[in-house]
Amino acid sequence: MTSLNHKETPYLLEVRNLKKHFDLSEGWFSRKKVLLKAVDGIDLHVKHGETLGIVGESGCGKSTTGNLIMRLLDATEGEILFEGTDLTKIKGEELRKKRENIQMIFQDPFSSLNPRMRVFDIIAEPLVTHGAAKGKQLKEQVFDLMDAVGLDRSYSKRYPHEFSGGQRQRIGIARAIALKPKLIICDEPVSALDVSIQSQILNLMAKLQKEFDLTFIFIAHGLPAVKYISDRIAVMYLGKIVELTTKEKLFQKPMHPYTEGLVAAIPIPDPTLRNPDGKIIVKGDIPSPTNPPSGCRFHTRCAYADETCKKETPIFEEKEEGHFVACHYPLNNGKGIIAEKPVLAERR
Amino acid sequence: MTKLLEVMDLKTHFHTGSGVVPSVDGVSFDIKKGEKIAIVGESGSGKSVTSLSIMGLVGSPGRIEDGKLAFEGKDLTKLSKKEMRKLRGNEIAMIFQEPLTSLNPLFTVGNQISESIKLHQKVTSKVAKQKSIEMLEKVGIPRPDKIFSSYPHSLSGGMRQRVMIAMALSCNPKLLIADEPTTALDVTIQAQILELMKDLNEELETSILLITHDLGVVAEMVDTVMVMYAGQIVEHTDVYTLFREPKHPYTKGLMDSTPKVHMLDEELVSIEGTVPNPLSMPKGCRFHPRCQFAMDKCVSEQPELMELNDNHKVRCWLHEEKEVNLHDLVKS
Amino acid sequence: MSSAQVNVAAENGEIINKEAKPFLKWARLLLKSKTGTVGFLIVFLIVLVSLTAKWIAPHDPAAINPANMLLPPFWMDGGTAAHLLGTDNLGRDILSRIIYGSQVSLMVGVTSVILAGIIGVFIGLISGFYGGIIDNILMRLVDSFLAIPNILFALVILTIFGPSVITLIVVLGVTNWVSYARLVRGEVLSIKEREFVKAARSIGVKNNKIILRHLLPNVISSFIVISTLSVATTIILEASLSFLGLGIQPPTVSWGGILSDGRDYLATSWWLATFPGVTITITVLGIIFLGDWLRDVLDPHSQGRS
Repeated sequence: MTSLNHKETPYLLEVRNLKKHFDLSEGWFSRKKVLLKAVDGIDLHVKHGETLGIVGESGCGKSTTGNLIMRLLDATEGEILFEGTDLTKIKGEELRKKRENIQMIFQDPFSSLNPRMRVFDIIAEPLVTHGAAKGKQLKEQVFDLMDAVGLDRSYSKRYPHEFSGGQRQRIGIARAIALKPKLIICDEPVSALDVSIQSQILNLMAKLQKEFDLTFIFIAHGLPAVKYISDRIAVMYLGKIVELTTKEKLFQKPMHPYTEGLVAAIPIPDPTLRNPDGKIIVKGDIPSPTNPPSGCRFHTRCAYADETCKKETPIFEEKEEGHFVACHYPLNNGKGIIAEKPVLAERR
Repeated sequence: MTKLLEVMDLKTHFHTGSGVVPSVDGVSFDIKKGEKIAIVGESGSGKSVTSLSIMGLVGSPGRIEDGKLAFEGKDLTKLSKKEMRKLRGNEIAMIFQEPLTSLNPLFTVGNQISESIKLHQKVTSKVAKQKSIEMLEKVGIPRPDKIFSSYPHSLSGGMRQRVMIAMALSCNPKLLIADEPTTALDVTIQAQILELMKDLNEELETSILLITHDLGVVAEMVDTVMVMYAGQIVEHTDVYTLFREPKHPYTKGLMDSTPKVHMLDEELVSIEGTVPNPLSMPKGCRFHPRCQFAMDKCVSEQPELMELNDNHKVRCWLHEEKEVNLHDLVKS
Repeated sequence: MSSAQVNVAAENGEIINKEAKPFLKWARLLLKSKTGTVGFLIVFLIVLVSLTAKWIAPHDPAAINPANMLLPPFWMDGGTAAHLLGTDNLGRDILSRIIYGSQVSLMVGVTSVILAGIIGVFIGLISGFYGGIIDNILMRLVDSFLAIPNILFALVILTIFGPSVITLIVVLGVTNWVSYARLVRGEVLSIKEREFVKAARSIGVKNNKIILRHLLPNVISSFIVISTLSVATTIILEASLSFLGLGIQPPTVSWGGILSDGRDYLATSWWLATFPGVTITITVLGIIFLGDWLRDVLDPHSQGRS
C-alpha cells in the first residue's frame, strides 16, 4: 500500500494539479450538471521551514485548498504529496496517523473551540488522541504549551467563553502545536481579531515557527497579514493560482495584472503616499465561481486583455526563476507598492 | 468652513444587568461642511455608538445621558421622534458594514430607493424612479435600470454597498455617516467603494464621518482623525500630523501594530494586553495598564483631552509640561 | 513580549474557582434560581410521596366502600376529615389514590421519556453526523413513524401484548423517539459545521469520540428542554390510554386512570377529576422548572457568570 502511494519529492508538501468540484445540480434527473469548480487545477510546493502565503478574494478557493490538504474534504483530482506520501490515496488509520504531522489553525476563535470543554481538555485532546502523553506527563505538556503561547496556567480550568478573541486564538494555536506537527495550515487566523491583537498573534506565530521548527501555509483574504509572515505568496483567483513568487517580487514587481491590482488596492497607512492621480483600481465585480469566464478567468476585469485571453486559458509556468505566473501577457514593468530598492521610512 | 455638526460632551451609557457600560464617555468634536473625518478605534472603543447617537438610533438599554448634538444649530437630542425621522435620511444618512441586513429582502432595490426619495421629497413615483436610476448610475452601477428591478440577494456585496450609498445620497444629505463601510468587502471592491466615496464627497460636498478600525483606510480617505479608546477620544488632529507624529501612546501602538505593506522589512510591535472591561474601567488613564510609558500619575489621575495647539488634542499626561516626541522617547 | 499579557479574564474576575464540594456547589447553584428551587422542591416532594406511599396514604387506594360513595372534600358540606379530598363513585379515597398513583405515573412518564430519549438521541446523532445514505434511511424511518398516529400505534401494540406497566413504557417510549431523533439530527447538522468539529477531525479524533465529546454535550441542553415537556405529555397520553381501557389496569392506580374515572362525574362531583388534574399540572410545572434550571446550569456560559 504505502509504497504505491509514495512518490519522490524534494519538498515537504507538493500539490499537483489539485481539483475540487462541488456538484450543485439538484434532483435526480436534472439535465444540466452545475459544477462549482472551487479549486481547478493548482500546483504548489512548500519547503521545510518556510511560510507559504495563499491570498485571494472571496470565491477564489483558498480555504477549500486548505481543507483539501488537511483532508477535511476529498479532492476530485490531483495529488497532495506530504513527505512523498499521497494524502489523497490514504484513509482510515493510516490517515489518522498522518494527521499528527499536519495541523490547522482556524479563522473564527469563537466557533473553533468546543464551548463545553475546558481549556485543559481542548489543548490535551490531540495528545490524548494520539496517545502521546498521559497522567502527570500530559499535565506538564499542556502547561508547557500554555506557557509557549502566553496563556497563564491558572486558566486551564476555564471554558472558552471566558476569554477574549485573541486569547481564544492562543488556545487554538496551543492545540495545533501540541503534537509538534511538521506543517500547520493557518486558515485566516487573524482576520477576526482587532488590529492590536492581530499583531500579537502574528508575532507569536513567528516566534513559535522558530521555536518548534514549523512550516506554515498561511491563508488570508488580505495581503497585509500574509506579507508579514510569508516567505513566498501564491495569489488565487477563481479556483486557480495566477501568480506565485517571493513576497519581495510580489510587492515590488508583480507580473500578473490581477496581482498588480490587488497590491494597489491595499490602503497604505501613510497619508503622504496618497496618489493624487488615483491608483490602479481593478474594475468590475468578482464573477461567480459557478460560471467562471472562459479563457483567462481574469479577462473580464483585466485592463490588458485581448481576444486571446478570452479564448485560451493561460498556462501556469515559471517565467523567471522562482516566479510562476499564469498570464498570456505577463507585465514587464508591473507596479508594486514597494520600490525595488527598499526605502526606509523617513518618518523616524 | 462652517460647522455642520457639533458634538459636545456626548455621553451614551448602556444600562445592563451587570452594571452601567459607559460606551461613549464625554466625546466632543465638530464636523465642517465638506469635511471628511474619521473615528478610529478597536472593538469596544465606542466609535459605532458615537455614530448611532448622532443618528438617534441608540436602542434600549442604551441612553444618551448627557451632551449636546448641534446639527446646523438644532440640538438633535431635543428633537421629537418624528422630527428626528425627518432629519434622518434627508439631512444625515448612514451606511453600515453589512449592506444585506440593511436592505429589505422582500422589495426590489428600486422600490426601496424610490420609497426613501418619496418619503423625504414629495415627488411622484415617476420622478422618484427617474431619480433612483440616476443615483444608481452615479454610484457606478452598470445597467442601473436592470438593477432597479432586482432584489438585494441577487447582488454582490460590492453592488449592495453601492446601492446603500445611492440610497443614502438620494436626498442629498449634508452628512454621511459610514460605519465600517468596506470591512465586509473584498479588497479590490473596497478600493472601488472608497474611491466612489471620495468622488461623491468632492462632487456633492457631502461631509463624511467614517467609522473604521483600519488605519490604512483612514490614511487614504480623510482629512481629520479622532482616535477613540474605551469610550473616549484620546487623540484628535489632521491626518498628516497624526501619522507623522502620533502623540498618544495608544495611537502610536496602533500604528506600530498595523502591517506596513509599503515597506519591505517591517516590524510589528503589538500593544500588550486587551481592551479594559467596560464594567470596571481602570482608574486614572484608561490606557495605563497597556501603556509602555505609564507613570505614577497615569495610574491615579485621569487626563483631560488637552490642546497642544489649535490643531492637535491629546489625552495623555506625557505632554502635560511640554510636548514630547514619542519616537524619541522610545529610543532613549 | 507576548508572555506578559492577557489578564482580561483575571480582570473580568469574580469567577469562582474554589474547589467546593460538589454537593454544596450544586446546592448553591440551585438556590440562586427561584424557579429552579421551586421545581426541585415540587419534584422532590412528589418523588418522596411516591416512595413512602405505603406509609403515608390514609387508606387502601383500592378499598371499595359503597357507604362512602362520592363524598366531597372535607371543607364542603358532607365532607369528612377521614377522606380529605373526598371519595369516588366506588367510595375509594381520592387522596390515597393520588398518592399511590404517583408511583406509576412518575415511573411511566420518566422511564418512557428516558427510553425514547436514548433511542432518539442515538439515532439523531448517527443520522446527523454520518449523513448520506444512513441519514436517508433513518429519516425515512422517522417519517414513517410520524405517519402512524401515536394512539393507533399504542392501541395495536397494547392489544397484541396486553396492557401492563412494562408494555406501556415501551409503547410510549417507542412512539416518542422520533421527535428526539429529528431534533437532535437538526442540532447535529448545525454543530457539525462549526469549526471545533473540523478541528477535532483534523487532530485525528475518532468518529465515536467526536460524537460523544463534541456533539453530544452540545445537543444535550435542547434535549433536556424537550424531554421535560415530554414527561408531561406522556403522563397525559398514559391517561388517555387508561381512559380507553388499555392503560394501567385496576387495581393498580395511575393519575391518568383516576382522571379518566372522574370524567363522567365532572358535572356533579367535580373533585374526582380536578384533584388528579391539579396534581398532574403541578408535577409537570415542577419538572419543567427543574429542566429549565438544569439546562442553564449545564451551559458553561452561565457558570462563568456566577
